[in-house]
Amino acid sequence: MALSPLIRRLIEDLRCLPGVGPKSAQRMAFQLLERDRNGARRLADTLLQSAEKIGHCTQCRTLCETELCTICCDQRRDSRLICVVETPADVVALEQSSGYRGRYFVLMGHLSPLDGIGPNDIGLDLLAEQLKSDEVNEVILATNPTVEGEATAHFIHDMVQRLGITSSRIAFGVPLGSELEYTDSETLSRALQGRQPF
Amino acid sequence: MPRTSLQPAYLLHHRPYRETSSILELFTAEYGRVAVVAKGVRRKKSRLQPLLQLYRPLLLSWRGRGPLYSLDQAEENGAMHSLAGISMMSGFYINELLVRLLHHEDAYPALYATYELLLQQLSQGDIGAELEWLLRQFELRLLHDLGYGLNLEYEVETGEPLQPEQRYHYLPEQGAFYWQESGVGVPLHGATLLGLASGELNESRSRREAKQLMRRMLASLLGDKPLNSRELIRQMM
Ligand SMILES: [Zn+2]
Repeated sequence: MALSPLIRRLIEDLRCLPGVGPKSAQRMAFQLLERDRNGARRLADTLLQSAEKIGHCTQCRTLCETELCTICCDQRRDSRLICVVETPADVVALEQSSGYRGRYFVLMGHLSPLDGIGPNDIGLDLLAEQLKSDEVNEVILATNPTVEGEATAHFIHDMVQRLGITSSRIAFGVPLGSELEYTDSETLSRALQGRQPF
Repeated sequence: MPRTSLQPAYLLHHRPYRETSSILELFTAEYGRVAVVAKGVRRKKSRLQPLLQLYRPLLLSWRGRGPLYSLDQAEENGAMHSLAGISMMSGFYINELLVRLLHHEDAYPALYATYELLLQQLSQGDIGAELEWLLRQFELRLLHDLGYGLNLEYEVETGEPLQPEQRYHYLPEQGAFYWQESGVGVPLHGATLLGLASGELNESRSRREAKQLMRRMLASLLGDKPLNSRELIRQMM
């Protein structure tokens, strides 16, 4: 079936969404055109506004369209505590599950020397400024348990220590729902090291 | 290259590829540096992702046609070398050197063995000043295996054996020349070159000179683009 150039373009553009191949892009395009023109207009408008207006929180660097994000604005949050994470999605995950009441700092990545990503590319200059001027007394390092995440945690730990502030690393263990037999040896050895009284 | 079966290998670098895959730069015992695509490895439930870490001894199978192969299978091949702090950063430095300087699919078996040994040494906690010397030995092996081995025996123009307390200038791809006011190249003492040859370099003067020498040697291969990991290590010191 021949599709008009604009429909083809729509299908092609929808494929920039994660997990969307040609078939699902086509399904989405027809759904919007045949059944939900209003939804399509709203989506287009929201996408456009988001792409133009959403930037980074000037304090924690997470994605938001205001100068400060809702967490940074919230007076009830404990601003003596900063949890450092790699991505905005990590903030969402921790917010949903942890009952954490401090602030965050979002690196938007991790140190990756081979890709030329250094300390300032992940905002550590901004973090250092905040640690010097603010009343922070503990930094929680919640970067991923990869070598790059560890290197990043280590680098920040050094920086934080030089400023006389405490830092701690979140514990890692065997993921819930997984089987020991299929867990890699490094994860197992960390889980054993970080064991707790039962 | 036919389909390989569980080859000893280390991951040197990985970068995202498409939505859920990664391109891995590997250092393998038999095939040298190899690039593979690891399909779906960035999916949440990927079983391979926790395995495919830097500094972890791996057994990998890949197939397809080069230069970019497809990763088939991965298993761990012993405990991970757990590098911490400055050793971890030094691991990045070594990996960056290998990714920048090794050609794909040239075998470097001796270098591979040296790399593995170095990771073991780096994982032995705080090794202090020994760290620098371990890196120098690795750089020396790397230069040698790339075909830029150093001339550590004779003065170039006269063919006279190097003398420990004599001063020289070392020129990359040529060798040591007797020191003179207007000489170019890295200024150093004979003891430094003799120490590099014998694998024993204990004086701090020699170690300092060896560092300058290796830096110059590597710079002539690396060109203008600086080593990012070296900058990172400098910021940590
Ligand atoms: Zn914020």
